[in-house]
Amino acid sequence: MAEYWPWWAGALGLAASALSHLFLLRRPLGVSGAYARVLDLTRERALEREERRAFTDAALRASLVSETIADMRASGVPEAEIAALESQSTREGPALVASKTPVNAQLVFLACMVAGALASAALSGRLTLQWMPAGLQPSMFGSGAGLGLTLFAGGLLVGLGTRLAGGCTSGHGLSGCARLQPASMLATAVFFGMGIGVSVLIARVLA
Amino acid sequence: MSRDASTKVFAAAAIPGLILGFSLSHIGFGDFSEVHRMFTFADLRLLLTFAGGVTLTALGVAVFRRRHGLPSRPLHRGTVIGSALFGTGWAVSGACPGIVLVQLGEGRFYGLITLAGIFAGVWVGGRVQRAARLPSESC
Repeated sequence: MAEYWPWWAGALGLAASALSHLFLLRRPLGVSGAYARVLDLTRERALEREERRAFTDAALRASLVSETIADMRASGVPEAEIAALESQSTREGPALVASKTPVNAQLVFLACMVAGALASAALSGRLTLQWMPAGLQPSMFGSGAGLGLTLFAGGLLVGLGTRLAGGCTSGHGLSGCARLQPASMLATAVFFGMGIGVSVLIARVLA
Repeated sequence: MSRDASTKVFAAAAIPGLILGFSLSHIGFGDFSEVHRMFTFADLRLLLTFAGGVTLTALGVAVFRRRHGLPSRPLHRGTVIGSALFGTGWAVSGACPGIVLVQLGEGRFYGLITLAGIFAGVWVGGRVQRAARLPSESC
């Protein structure tokens, strides 16, 4: 379609999204990962609450220990005793490490994808309310129930497949291949290959 | 997390989301016929877009790697079979986990049916992983 971006503009857009994600979140871009976490929303949020509690407890413990040590020094307790307490506390020390991106941030990411697409469609005059697809899909899969079932079944395969593969077009395809990860390059070859094979098949049989 | 830190994370998540949603829509990935044309080689535009995107991203990744490390992605039993199922679903529905969101943003509300299917599939995938002792790494 004439109104869509030429290949080089699209390439810049994809790279901008992948690299902004990488540099801002210190993690490669990948959409499918967010779905699994959002599905388990309550559990993920509970895990994050636990983590925050442990973080706070550990930080509290650490500050109590250092206050005690300061008091001991002030009241003239021998350095040898203080050293023993200090080494014990550093051994027990909390692992205050950074965890995964918060699941609420993942929700923001997904919502912003919708918003970005909305802006694009609105700016290009492509924004129309469609409850059913038009054109190629109904000509291939019929209308009504048959088409709806195809969309659901297709989605089911996408969800199941990306969960098992641990990535999708962005995770394996864009990020993984850009990182020259063998697993991602293989995954991309396979899902593109299947996409091509199945598309050629349905074009021949259904169109 | 402090309110200041969480605002930063939300902004850090919003920016790539907006860019990706906008770009995928502007490229035409929300359109089933465009995706079908890509898969049947009727039009090379989307393929070139993708290849170009990967290449440009690779340059940026090289810069990132100079400062930070990144864990490797494992190749495991789920990788190939999962990708095969995914590719099939993509060809049939026109959507991937990102594209379905783009469809919703464009007003293509039939994408809600696809989205329901995706969530169902992600749920089933989790059960399969547990039952078959498959690793559950993800992007």
